[in-house]
Amino acid sequence: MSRYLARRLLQAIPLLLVISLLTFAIIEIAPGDAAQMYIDPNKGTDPAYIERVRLSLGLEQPVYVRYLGWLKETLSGDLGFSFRTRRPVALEVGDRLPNTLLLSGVSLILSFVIAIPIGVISALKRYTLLDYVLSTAALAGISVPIFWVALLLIQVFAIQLGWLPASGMSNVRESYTGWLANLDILRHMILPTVTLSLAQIAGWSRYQRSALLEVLGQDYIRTAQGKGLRERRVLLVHALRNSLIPMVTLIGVSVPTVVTGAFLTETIFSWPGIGRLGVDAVTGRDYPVIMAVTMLSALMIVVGNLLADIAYAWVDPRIRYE
Amino acid sequence: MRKFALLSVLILMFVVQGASAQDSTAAFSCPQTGGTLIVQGEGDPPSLSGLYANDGNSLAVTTFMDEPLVLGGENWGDKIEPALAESWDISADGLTYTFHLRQGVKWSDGQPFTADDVLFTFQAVLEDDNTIDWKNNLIQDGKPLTFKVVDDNTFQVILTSVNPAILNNLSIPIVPKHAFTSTSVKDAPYNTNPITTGPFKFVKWETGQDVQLEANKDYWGGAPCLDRIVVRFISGVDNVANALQAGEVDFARIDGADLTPFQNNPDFTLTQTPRDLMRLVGFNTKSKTVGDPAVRRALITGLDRQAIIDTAAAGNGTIPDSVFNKSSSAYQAGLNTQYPYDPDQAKKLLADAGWKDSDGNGFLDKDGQELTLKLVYSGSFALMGSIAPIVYDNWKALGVNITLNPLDDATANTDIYDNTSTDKPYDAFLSGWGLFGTDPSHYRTFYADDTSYLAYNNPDVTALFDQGDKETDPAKRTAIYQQVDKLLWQDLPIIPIFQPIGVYVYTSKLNLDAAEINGTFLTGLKYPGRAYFTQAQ
Amino acid sequence: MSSVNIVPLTKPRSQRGVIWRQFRRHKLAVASAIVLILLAFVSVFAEQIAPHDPNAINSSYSHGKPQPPTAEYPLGTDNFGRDYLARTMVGMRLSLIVGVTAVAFQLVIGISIGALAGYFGGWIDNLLMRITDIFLSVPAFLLLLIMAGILGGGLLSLIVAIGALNWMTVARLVRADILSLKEREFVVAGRSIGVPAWRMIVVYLLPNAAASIIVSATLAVPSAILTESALSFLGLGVPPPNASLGNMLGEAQQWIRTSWWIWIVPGVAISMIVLAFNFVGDGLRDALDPQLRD
Repeated sequence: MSRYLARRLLQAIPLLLVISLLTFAIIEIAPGDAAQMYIDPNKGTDPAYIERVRLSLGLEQPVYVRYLGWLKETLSGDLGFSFRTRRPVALEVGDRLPNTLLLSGVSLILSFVIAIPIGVISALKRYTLLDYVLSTAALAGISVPIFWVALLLIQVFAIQLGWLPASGMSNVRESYTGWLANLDILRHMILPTVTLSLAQIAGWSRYQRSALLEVLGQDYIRTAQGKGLRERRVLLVHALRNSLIPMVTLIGVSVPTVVTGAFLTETIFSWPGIGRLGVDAVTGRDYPVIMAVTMLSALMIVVGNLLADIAYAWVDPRIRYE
Repeated sequence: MRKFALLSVLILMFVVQGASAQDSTAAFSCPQTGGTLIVQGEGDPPSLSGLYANDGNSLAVTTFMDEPLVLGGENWGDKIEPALAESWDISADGLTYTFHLRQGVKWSDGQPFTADDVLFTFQAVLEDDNTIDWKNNLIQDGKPLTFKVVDDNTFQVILTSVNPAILNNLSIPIVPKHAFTSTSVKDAPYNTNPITTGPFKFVKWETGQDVQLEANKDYWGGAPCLDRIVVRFISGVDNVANALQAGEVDFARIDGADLTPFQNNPDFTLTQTPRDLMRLVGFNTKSKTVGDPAVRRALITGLDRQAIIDTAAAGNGTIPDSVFNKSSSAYQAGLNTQYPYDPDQAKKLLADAGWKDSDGNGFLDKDGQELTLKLVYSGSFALMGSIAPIVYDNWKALGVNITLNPLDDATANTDIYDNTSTDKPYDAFLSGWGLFGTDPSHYRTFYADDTSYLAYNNPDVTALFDQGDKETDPAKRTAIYQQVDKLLWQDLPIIPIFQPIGVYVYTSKLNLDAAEINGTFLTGLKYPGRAYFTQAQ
Repeated sequence: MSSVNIVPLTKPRSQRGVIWRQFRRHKLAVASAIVLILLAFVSVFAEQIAPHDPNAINSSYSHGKPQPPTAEYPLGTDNFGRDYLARTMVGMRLSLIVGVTAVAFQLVIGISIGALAGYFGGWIDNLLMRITDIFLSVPAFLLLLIMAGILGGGLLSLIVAIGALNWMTVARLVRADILSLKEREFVVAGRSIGVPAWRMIVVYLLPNAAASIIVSATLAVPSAILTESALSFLGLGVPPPNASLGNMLGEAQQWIRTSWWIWIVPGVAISMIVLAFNFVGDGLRDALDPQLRD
């Protein structure tokens, strides 16, 4: 196993390199560049000025020079400066990462904690009223577009009832400190978290239910059912463990999104996160920021995959890695 | 003795009255003080330095903090008025402007404001390395203007030839010399920590969330009534409308979103104010189909511009009768005859120009060329998305094979705004321009040559623009630009669709009468220091 | 359980017949299938059925505000005066087309890659999974912009883009299933008697992974439809003036409060279609899984 781990970690390096090359190439191919963002279409900016901006950003250099320059800087720890705001990329990302981790992380944990039990109960109480109610609710949850729900929630809870805030991470009118500040942030988190978790909880609970059902339908379970209560319990626990395999996949795939954030939710709720930063950077062809966010995401995926594969082996002893 | 004293007091009052009538920035006494005003910005500002603040996000913050010598320039209103310069004299030959700077003005760090700061600012603007947008404002006939510091409170600008627009050009925010180590201002710490003279000063920038400003109690125009202003980043007009309703934003301009929740609602006040912008269809005048002015005249006749105003701007707009915005000194109401909406007449005009549906496919053609029209626009701009379907519908009904092409920002820049080739990848585009203030010479950028967005090159028009640059007599100058207007109105390289009327929505707890809502300032307020809350929030 | 059952002789049942009977037991699934067929029918013939042209603007009727439902306009009009019923029908058609074709694309790619990776293991598995990782790491938004740039921003680029975004989940799920199935006796046996790899995968392994594939396909169509609606909502999907449920929602945002049906109708339409697909998927899964039959 340790040989496998070492090999995977070693392989991660060329993988990350390829991803960085690909992303860089994609930014190149896409029309437009960061200097154009300084154009004001309302007033007809002087093209000579844009050229000067281009020079000042180093965009007149050929792409391989810029790539190698980026690589060298990044490997020595310097993430460069954002083309749009001229602030260090490390600050731009660093300021927003905690906000995204908070929102997406809490949603992920909440979804996991709620979805697994719902799925298990549904599977065990199959074809009862409880199962139908839970399954239908879950189906409804994954069928509604989240931005549709989000705006309805805002309309009802923030505007009509005034119970929860419609936007932002904190109340700027009062400057709270200490635990009041944390409570304030928590309050601002409620609607976005509900929005993010809704679809996840619904989807995951269905997966859990179907995975558990599949395992329960297998021969050794039927044998145990015939044999008696205690054997059955032991095997149920075993079945549960096996049913977690697809769940592990789902979570493994979701971990990177905790870091990259949920753009749509962050925009609707004006949550200052990485999701918005990434999209704004792509729109503005701000490649230092794009590269930083992409490499962060890639790193998280490598780690997430590795953890998922290790978890497979732990959960299903039939899977072996050499 | 008493009578004399009374008389002199009365005379003194009149004198003081007279002086302050000229200079309306005399101190204002606040009926109420305190409170935090929350306004809206679209996102993080690229820069907090007045020298680089040339985009909506930055100006939403810096307009509260910075001040130029005189108002009336690009982002500073539509009238030339004193600001940091209290008054100015122009020499007889029109070449020397002597500015008498306001005395006793302090920077937000306590240092005094002097003519050295003005000199430093202009020098920094002129330096190539700093890549400041207004460099061209300070250049005349290829050479930089000459500046002279006469004394701490007197500053001179010497021109090489007479330029009637010079005061507009000099309306650039002034930065303090002592905040910089050299004239290289590009990456200075000042850009994230500005020191300013205006009514509000910088406190904190929470990335991704907001910028916080507090009142400058030593402001020369009188201490502001409010304690703080917070510019909150919320993007998308619908999200802003939601925030307004939820009380998370106090004052914002709502363009093109449903205003019903705010109308007839005692919690909100709505004010309309005209904006110095024009929404238009710009044509590629070299296009094979719309390159013919007759076709363009047919298209404007076949466009229901009132319907566009009603749908895209909730009725808040006026149909233009000039290619110049109303705030321009060249604008003359009634100068041109309007093109009223008449689809039948439009079809006739197209037929007269030789376009018929000879192959029966529902679209007009001429000499084998089908009347195709590729209309591009910036897809992220919701207003354009509201205008486009009506344009599509109206012109399709005339037999034009029109296709809509929303572009993302960067592609829009590459194809339209940063495209200096004469071979444009579109037949027409939807856009807008303005915010030029009173001076009409800026419009030249669009009509002067075939590398512009319109690929338009009309020697008569270019010659007139040249004349206008040089003419000093205001009446003669206006006459020249009016000739430009007449020519362009006939040729129609653009179809002016409407001039928007900005609708500002704010909580009724706020009193903005003295603050003066003015759409020509990006923040929407001319004197933010005079805004106050009538009740605590 | 009863002891011995005397089972009357009946006609032997075909495989397909058994599956169909099982499916019919799942009432909601049947109902949803009918609904979907109806929707498909309505969508195909939308222009003939709808009383008005979905793109015809009628500003003199609407005066810039959406109009409430009347006899002539059963679902009212949007703020341009366009018949909402017609637009909804055309919108549903577009959503269905985009959803189904995007998923077909995803399945072809995802199943191929997942099966090959799971079965062969070793360096093939590694390589394919790293390619999967690459696609997972490149930001979705970036990928979409590139597609738009290369393919021109129309419907095709949208379908390819959505397809390119989601095949990875299918691939990983198929791979996981095959990894577990690979060690089963019948697989080991088949290998040892020399059954060729492609036959192993297509005939023996994939059908056993079918439940997984079907469940993921039926989750993928809704996901594709929801992605398209989110993109159109943001202005990046179906270009105007064509109606898609997503871009209808984008235009409807500002009217939630005063003309609420404008917001409700497309959202309910999307939810209905997606829900129907999900019920059908459930029914199919129950019917196809041999071990769940009683």
